[in-house]
Amino acid sequence: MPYRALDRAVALGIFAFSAAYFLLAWNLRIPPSSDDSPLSARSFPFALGLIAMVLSAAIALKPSGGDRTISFERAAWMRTILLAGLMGFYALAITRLGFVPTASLFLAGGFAVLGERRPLVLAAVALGVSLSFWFLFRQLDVDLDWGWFGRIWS
Amino acid sequence: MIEGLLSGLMALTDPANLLLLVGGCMLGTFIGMMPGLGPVTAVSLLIPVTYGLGPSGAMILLAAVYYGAMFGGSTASVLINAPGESSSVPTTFDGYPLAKSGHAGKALALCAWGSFVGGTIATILLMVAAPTLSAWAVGFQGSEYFALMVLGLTAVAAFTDEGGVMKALLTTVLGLMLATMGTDIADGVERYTFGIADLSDGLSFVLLAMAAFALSEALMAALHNAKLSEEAKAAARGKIGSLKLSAAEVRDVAPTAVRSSIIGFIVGVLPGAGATIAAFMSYAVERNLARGPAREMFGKGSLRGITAPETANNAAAGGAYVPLLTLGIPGSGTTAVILGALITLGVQPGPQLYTQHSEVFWAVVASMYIGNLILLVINLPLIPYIARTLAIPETMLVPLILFFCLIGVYLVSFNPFDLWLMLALALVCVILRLVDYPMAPLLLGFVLGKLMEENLRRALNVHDGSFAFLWERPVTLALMLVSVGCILAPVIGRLRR
Repeated sequence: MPYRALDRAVALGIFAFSAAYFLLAWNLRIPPSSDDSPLSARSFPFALGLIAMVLSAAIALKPSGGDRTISFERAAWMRTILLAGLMGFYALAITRLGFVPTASLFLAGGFAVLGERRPLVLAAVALGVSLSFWFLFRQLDVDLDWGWFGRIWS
Repeated sequence: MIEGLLSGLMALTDPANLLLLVGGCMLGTFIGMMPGLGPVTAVSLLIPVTYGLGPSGAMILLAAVYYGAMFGGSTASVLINAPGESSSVPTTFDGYPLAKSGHAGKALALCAWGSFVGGTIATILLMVAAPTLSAWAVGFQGSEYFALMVLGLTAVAAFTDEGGVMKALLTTVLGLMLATMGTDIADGVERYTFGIADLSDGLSFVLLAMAAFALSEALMAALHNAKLSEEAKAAARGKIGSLKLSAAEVRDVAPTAVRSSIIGFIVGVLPGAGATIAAFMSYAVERNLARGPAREMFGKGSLRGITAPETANNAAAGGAYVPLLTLGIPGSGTTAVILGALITLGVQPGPQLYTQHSEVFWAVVASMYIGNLILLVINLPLIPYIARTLAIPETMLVPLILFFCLIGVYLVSFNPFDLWLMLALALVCVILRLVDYPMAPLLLGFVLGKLMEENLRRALNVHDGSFAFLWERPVTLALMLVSVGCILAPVIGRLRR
């Protein structure tokens, strides 16, 4: 993908974000007592939104990068997306499955995504790290989630 | 001053603080050694740990991690030609050729001695400069603080390459925008919370620091499929040679160390400049000063070429503490993270810090003295063993970093919503990084955002809503003019070329 095209697309994305931010600041309801305030809750965001719109528009109009291209292998994108997916799994599962199963599955999945193929190493390191952290936090009186499994177990 | 230093040293006699110092130095060295991970990532990863410590303990740990990571970055530069962060890049110019010729131990010893000298001289200068600056700044009002913050944010532009000025300014503004999320202190109005209760306190600083640095850095590494070279693996397994320096070699590099310490400290004090510029500048100065065969050696394994950047980047790290501790203005991404941690712990850095929380100030100073000594006495002999950590497979490293980010953020709030938010922000940061948007200004803007709005409001209230304070108060005017100069400097430079 040409660098300039991505640079422009990102700048336009920021422009859209800034415009939305600006409009939300415009529509912000402030208490009547603040009407005469020199700097109400909407003033600062209002100015920031405007500045961000100007800067992002300037970058979008004159993107940098010349003839540079950005290219990653399909596998690299897949790897990154899978890692992000694993983090989403962690966020979903932590209160349901509990810390040790979630952390072990996350780590084992992450190692596998990045190319670790030895099942014993994969399981031992993942379980070892999560159990070590669980033990450490127990020593520090940090009450980690037990989840369904933990509740059944206990 | 001596009393203060002694009280700081006494604080370090507490075994818990000493453990934090030694542990921080070693952990920082380990993280800094990993290619692509620098001090800012190391400090970000450790923030959740500081919540269980007092302000002094937290500062001791973060300072130790900071210069430990600087030292670790140098080790990776010498051994595998892969600097952990940009300020170690000049170290590769001569460090790696020296390592290839079988003198890695000597290069590492120079790094450690250079860091020690730079760090120690910077600490002495910090002790002298900080009280003076604090005494001067104690009479500052909201208008001066506002102008100082504007300077801190715009200074980023002056030190960015010409194509990056707009992007640096834009990420600064984005950081300021993110800081407005949550309940406004003055009006009690909720801004950009979209009715989500989890956002009413605003965005968590730890969350943003993790997303912008550690997490997006790890995802970028996965995207680039970063792999250690065979040379790196060999360095991790192999021997590094003698760590000893001869008397003649010490005499040769001593003036370089002193010069580079002073350059590093001065550059470090300037907001926005930081360790990278200090390292490159001192390397260039030494190369220009060298004559005859000494000059020929630059780029081929010059001892002065290693000493200069190593001394300067550590001195700059010490210098960066001056505006942070005396004015509450961070000059770099790492000091912005430290500032955020301090604010979270209930300590507001600024001129009052020196009087109201002097124990924090002196704990930092004492930890710098002792920390530099620890790097020299403990870390240096352990380098052959620490280098073996480079043999950790890449398949393990990235998921472990992601895991540390997840538990770090989760332990602050025990709220899965924060994990989703961090993930979303990290993905946005990855996209921004792909087109070279710098991340440090984002965090600078975020950390200073609320303070900036508060001080602007205070200044406007004092001056009946008039912006005349910008030109009526001399210090405010001077600071604003320097800020304008910072924005215009790259433009003028471009026009002159």
